[in-house]
Amino acid sequence: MSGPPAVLEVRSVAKTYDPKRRAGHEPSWALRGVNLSVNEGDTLAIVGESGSGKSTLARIVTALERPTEGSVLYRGETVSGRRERDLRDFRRRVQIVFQDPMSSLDPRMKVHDILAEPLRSLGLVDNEREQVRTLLASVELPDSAAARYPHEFSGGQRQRIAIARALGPSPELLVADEPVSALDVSVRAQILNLLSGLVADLGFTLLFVSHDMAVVRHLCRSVMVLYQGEVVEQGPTDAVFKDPRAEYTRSLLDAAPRIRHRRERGDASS
Amino acid sequence: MAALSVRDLSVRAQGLELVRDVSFEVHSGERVALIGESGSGKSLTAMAIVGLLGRGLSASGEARLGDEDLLGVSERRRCQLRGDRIALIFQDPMTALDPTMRIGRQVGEALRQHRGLSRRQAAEAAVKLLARVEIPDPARYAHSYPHQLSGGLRQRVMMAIAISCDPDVILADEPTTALDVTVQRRVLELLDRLVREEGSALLLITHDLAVVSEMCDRVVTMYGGRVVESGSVESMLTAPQHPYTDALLAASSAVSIDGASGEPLPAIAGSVPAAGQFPPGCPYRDRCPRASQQCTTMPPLEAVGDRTVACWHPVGREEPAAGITTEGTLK
Amino acid sequence: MSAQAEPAGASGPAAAVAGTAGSAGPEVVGGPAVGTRRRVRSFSLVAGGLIVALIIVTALVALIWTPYPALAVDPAGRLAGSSGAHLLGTDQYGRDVLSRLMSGARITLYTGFISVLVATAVGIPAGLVAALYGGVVGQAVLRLTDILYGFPALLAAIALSAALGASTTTAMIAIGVAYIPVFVRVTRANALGVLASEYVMAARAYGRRPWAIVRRHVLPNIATTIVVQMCLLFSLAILAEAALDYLGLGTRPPAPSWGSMLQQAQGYLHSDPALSLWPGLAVFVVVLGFSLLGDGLAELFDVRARR
Repeated sequence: MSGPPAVLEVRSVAKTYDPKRRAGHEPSWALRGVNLSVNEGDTLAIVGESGSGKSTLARIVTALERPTEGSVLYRGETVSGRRERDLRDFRRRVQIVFQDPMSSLDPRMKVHDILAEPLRSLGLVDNEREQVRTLLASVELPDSAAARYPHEFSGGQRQRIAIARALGPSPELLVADEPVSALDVSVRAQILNLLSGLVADLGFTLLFVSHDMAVVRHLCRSVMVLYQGEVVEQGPTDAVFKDPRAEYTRSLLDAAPRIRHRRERGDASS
Repeated sequence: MAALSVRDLSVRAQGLELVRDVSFEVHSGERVALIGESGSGKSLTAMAIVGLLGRGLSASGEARLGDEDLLGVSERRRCQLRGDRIALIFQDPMTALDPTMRIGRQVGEALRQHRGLSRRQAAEAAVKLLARVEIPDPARYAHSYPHQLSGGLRQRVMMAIAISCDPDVILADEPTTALDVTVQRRVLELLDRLVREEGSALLLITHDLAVVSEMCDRVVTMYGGRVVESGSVESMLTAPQHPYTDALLAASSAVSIDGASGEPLPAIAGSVPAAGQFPPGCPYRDRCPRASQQCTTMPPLEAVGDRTVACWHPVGREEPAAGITTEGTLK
Repeated sequence: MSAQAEPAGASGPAAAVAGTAGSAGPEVVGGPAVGTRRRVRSFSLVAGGLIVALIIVTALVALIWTPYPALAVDPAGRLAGSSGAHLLGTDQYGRDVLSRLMSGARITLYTGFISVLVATAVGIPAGLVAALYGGVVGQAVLRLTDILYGFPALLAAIALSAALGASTTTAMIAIGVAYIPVFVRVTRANALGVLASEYVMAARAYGRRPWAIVRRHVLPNIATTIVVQMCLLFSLAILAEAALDYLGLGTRPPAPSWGSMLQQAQGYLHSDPALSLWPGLAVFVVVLGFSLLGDGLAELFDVRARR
């Protein structure tokens, strides 16, 4: 394949949590034979339902979990299986946002510390207060937020804080694991706007994990569909939506809820 | 006559009015959606109707089930009605089912309680009910425990329990939100069929307008614990008049699998305030682009055609009058 | 179109509703019952706190002043009942009971303190290790804990006292050791919960190492549970110490520990029941105080942690 070099490459990754793997019986695979290549500046969606292995994949590409088989490469260098102390540079370049803004922020830390922690950990502190202020501004939160605790914010605001935390080290690749699925529609729109604005302004590569085809359609240029741990379809978003190859992709699209009006409803049911 | 008629329902906690003067009706065979963001009071309204409010919360007003006022009868009587004439389906079937009780027994429980069936009869009825909610191999699943079932199957079990006593009213609180889309679709189709077969009235609490458009006949929008708009699903979802319904609809329909990518999405500014922190007057005015000075007094719910709206500056009834600032009155 | 950072409100029903800002949580849970809960909490907390404070003050005062020296024998005034001179009477050697109780408070607190220190100093790190390392190390810690747990606490203490000789210190260490498993388990269980959270995942993603995560995230989040557990252990330790003293395996006479006072009063149960009553009551009140304080703190933290 020609074009820009891949930022992230996943080579035949498999993952099982089955402890009996060594006893010579076939384990149940959370992921199997997953190949993936993400180019600089790309916005790629990993779509699947519960049990598809999409969150496992997100954790493997961020080196939070080790693949049982296969490897993950970042800018041509193998990341998977490396010791934590050799990953410092990778940690700065790749950040992650989680689904649940309730549990992804330490309830006992003030927002200031939550945002400063990545900078401290990676040795990026320059002027901590100023840096925190800039981060808050980038997610459209006021300075005063720094002195508060997470529980004082609504779900959408908390997700902004989580995004700001991930932006702290100025990552090149942001992995977002279902960042809007716990939010109300109206707030979801805010966060999606924020994310696409940030992608445009800061130019990071986005790996967006989601179960929601509609959100993916809106946000991502290319898409990969996972079903029970295996890739069933991969391609540019427009093409996949227009002409889904895999049966499963088609059923996902068919099942996606749409606002339809009574006239259309007659044939919609059954 | 309405199967369920709610009149001036209010819910209070420590001097805070969390739900205020909510009124609506659900007729037999009709499906009414209660929509709004989290914190709008829709679930509280539902819980108040069935008398399952948490400690410290008190309800006033009226919720008539046929000729009985659910808020007026004794707790004993409410227990008799609950699960019998008014049934509940919750969002999370995992926590709503007893993890230590076999599926069959849980499904038969209401029948034993309300219909006085024997253990044997209830067990047989349970298997039939499980078959009705399209659970494969119902006899086998009747002996399973909830954790052995997938989320979709658990939600089907909840539905089997709900319809076991042929209720007049089914109250479903976000019944498909926790499910995968492909499962969600099938569960909705099932709910649709069951409600039709039972001829029950359905009150569906959801934030998902797509589900509303596919399931419901009428829509009631809540915000800040108040009903701000209601009307038929066609009119509400094609020409909403309250700016809040309008904004919800815009936010929902912009993100769609048929949508285009890249465009900024219409969003509602800010977020739902905590209870007690809504502004006086129209609760939505802080976030409303159409708000004016007038909105500091609460607009009355006015009936226009099949619709009721509580708004001084409804969408689509433009009086290009002074007072409407597009900037809104944020702060 | 900027988001307003309205604080969502931190307490009461406000927090209950704001707390469900996620898509569809039921809006009913949490907060509203705060009214009654707060009252209950303040009772345990205030009553427990007052009792504990009273004991601490008494022990401190006893350091510099007691009505009579705790060990002063007065053969002429043996077994005197309550009087103006001896508020709670005297014992069989004519020692002032009130003075001995006051000095005893010091021994009691000291016992509780050292026991808790031993139990936590070993139990908490062991629990953290067990939580962090699932492999051989973690398993080893857990198995050792199980073995220790198999021993009834009091019996373990008796065995240790018998081996090392009876003294207040032995009793304290014995009780502390006996309660190590409790702390290992409580620490491990709670730490596991925190370690599984997404904010720890996030911390790992920005390069925090395991022990840094323990210091920054795990300890602050399990501290409340641990403190509550410490209060409860404190009361159990006092009770156990009294029992050991009573059995003659703890503080040696003539030192005025409540347990040994009880033991010595036993011979006079019929003639002078008050002699047994006072140390018994003291033990009861202190144990009650620490239990109440533990419960009160638990409820306080529970409400706060409810978010």
